[in-house]
Amino acid sequence: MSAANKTITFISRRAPYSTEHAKACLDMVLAAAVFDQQVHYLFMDDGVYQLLAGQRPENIHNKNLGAALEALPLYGVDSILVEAQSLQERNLTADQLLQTGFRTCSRDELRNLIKASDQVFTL
Amino acid sequence: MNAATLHTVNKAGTPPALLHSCLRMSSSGDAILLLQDGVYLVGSPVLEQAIDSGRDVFVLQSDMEARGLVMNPQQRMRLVDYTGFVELSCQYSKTISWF
Repeated sequence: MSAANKTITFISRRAPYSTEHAKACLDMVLAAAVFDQQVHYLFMDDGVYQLLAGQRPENIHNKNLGAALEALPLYGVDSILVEAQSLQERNLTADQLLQTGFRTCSRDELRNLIKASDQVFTL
Repeated sequence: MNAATLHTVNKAGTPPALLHSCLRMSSSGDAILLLQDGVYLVGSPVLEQAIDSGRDVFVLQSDMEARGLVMNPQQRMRLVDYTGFVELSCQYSKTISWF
């Protein structure tokens, strides 16, 4: 049985570690990718903090979410998007972020992406 | 079915960060439904701008009444009950929950 192929956009909007939202969103992305759905993984608002390079959460007893995000291409998730305005508002530049092959996008691009998606999940 | 998106917003805030995020990702023709603490956004200038830029705004009546808020007759938002909420969910091709 094959699941109908859909375009699903996941919007991750929260910082890692303080809540389960970021991890839950990653789990949903991976699950969708395993079922061969067309997945877009968008980071906006505090979600962009998940992409900071050099995370060392071992001392707060968490698994390294950044390291997990770096493995996304191995799972066939290659559309990883970051909203440009969320980076600017937090004084972040692309060189401070993980090397996951993500693309920085304007809001117009993202609006079109959302229009073209069958389902959009925010977490 | 309407090809546009229904956005639900359940928090207010000063500044209304969640509404700003919703507006950045929504397009003209989309609808916004305020529920839970999102009803406190009724009357906010950002919401007026959203209406001016082609978004339809709906407010869940029971959440508004529960908080002692009343709709000013000049406000261009429409009150809906839970049946209206379900109808909106069916009418738009997808729903995005901002929470």
